[in-house]
Formats: sequence, C-alpha cells, structure tokens
Amino acid sequence: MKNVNRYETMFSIVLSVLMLMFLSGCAGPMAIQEQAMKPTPLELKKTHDFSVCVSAQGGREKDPFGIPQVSNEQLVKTVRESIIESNLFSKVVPQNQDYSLDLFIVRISQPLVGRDATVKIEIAWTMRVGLSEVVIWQKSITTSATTLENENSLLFNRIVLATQEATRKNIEQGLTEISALAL
Amino acid sequence: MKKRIVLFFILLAFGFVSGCSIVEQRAAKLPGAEIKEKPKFFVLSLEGDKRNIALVISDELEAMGYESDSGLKSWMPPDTDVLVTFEDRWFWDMANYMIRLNMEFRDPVTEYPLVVGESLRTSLARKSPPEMAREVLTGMFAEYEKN
Repeated sequence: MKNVNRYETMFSIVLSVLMLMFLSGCAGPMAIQEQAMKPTPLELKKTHDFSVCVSAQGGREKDPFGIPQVSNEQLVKTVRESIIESNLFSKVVPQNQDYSLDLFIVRISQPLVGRDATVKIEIAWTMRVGLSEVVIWQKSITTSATTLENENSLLFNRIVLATQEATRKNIEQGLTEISALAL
Repeated sequence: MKKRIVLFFILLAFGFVSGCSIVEQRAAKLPGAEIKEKPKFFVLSLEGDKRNIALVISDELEAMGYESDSGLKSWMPPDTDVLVTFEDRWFWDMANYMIRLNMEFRDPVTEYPLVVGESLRTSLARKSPPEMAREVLTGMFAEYEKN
C-alpha cells in the first residue's frame, strides 16, 4: 500500500512537470504575421498604371521541426497588400492581368541552435507580360535579419522575428526594383 | 499502478525516439527553367567549407555521368552550363552528422535559380554526405525531367 502511494506521488510529480513544460511552451511561441512582413512605407521610384497578378511557389507554413516558415499564401497576401497600399500598380487582379509577378521561395535558412538568430531568405522574382512567357525582369534576391537574444528569450520566437524581418527586407527590395522598371 | 508508470515511460521514450527519425526530401523546378542536355556543372565552394562538401557534390555529379568541377567563383570555367550552390547543416548526436543539405542549380551568369532541392535526415535516419548529396541530386534531376 505504501509502495502504491509512493508511485502515485512520483507519477503526479512527473505529470505535473510535463504539463508545465507543455503549457509554458504553448504560451510563448509566435507565428509568422503578414503585417510584420509588410514594408511600410515603400519608397518607390515610380508607379505603374497597369494591373498585376501575384503568385508564389516554394513556400511552406512550417519545416519538419515545426519551425514557422513563409507559406505561399502569406507571401502573396503580403506582396499584394504592399502593392495596393503603395499604388505600385494601379490594380492587383486574380486574372486578365497586364503583368504577372511570380515569386519563388528558393531557400529559408534558419538556425537549429544558438543565441542570436540569423535568418536568410532567398526569393526569386520574375515579371512577365500578361499570361505570356515573355520575361521582362528577373532577379533572385537574398536578404537576412538577426534577432538578438535580449530581444526575445525563446529561440523559437527569435527565429520567427528574424524570418519576418528578412522577408520584409526582401519584399521591400523586390518592389523597389520593380518600381524602377520601364514598363 | 507500476504497470501504468512503465507504460507511460515507454510511450514517452517512443515519442522521443520517433522524433529522432524525421526524413524529408524536396525538389522543385522553377517555372521556365531550361538546362541543356549533358550540362557542365560547377559547384561553388563555401567560405570555410572544412568538410569539402563542394567536392563531395562534384564527385557525385561525376559519378552520375556529368562533367563537374568545384571551387571558388573565380575558378569557374567559362563554358560552365550550371552553377551549383549549396548549404549544409550539421548537428550533434553522439557524433557530428549532416542533418540538412540544400542545393540549387543556377544560371552561371545571373545566378538565377533553375532547380532547388533539399534533404533532411535526423539522427536515427542519418546518411553520409555523399549519400545525402546523391539523394538531393537524384530528386532535383527527377523533378527537372518530370516538368
């Protein structure tokens, strides 16, 4: 009887500690926010009086370890909203566009361990005329950002913050370069 | 009660062990990417590549029947058709092992990506660098030929 009680106490302690670990983990981790990836305000060279359709490939919500990355939907939404808010193109449309902006997330390099989290993101940008295969501009842009240990105590969150910032820089550079194009 | 505790720890241990064997391979061809038949590859070395992974990848390409070389960008032969870039990530579990290998085939002039590939293997599913390189390359060639 005494032994049973001892096992029950041990079991309760182990279970409590595990619950605490899970709960503390649940309270902290952040998710990628589209708003944080939006470059505002955008300093454009000029605006284009045309319609554009934005698409993205290569992205994913999370890597196999569960670390948030950037999904195609998040990238399209952020770029689309950035274009609308900055008036870079007069219209963002789902079809019958004057130009197509194709984005491809080539690589997101995130740390597995460490103190300061540096994330690098490479996005391949392509501008095509309408629905044709005629490419008028193409560039693969790599940007990076670092979140320091003192900015957030959880590595997971530092990776999320650095991923958002690196993506924001990438979008800013891509849209600024597009604004300089002679369409 | 004792049985329940033992079962609990067995399940817990199983949870940890299964987490040690994540395997994932990904490859994709970028829209409009064109690579000539029997291309000449050049694998770009990374600064501080102590493990000489560029050479490992280049050797695998040669073993697959392609002409390939590796080194710094300034050493790239002018007749290179495809520039290969990569990033290797390592982790420690009883010994250092390659946990992730990313690779890209690029236009040698503009460095615009053509095909991308990745292999991720955690501790219990680990493979040697040449095997990882072969796995990524095989996936990339398959994806290129499929589309």
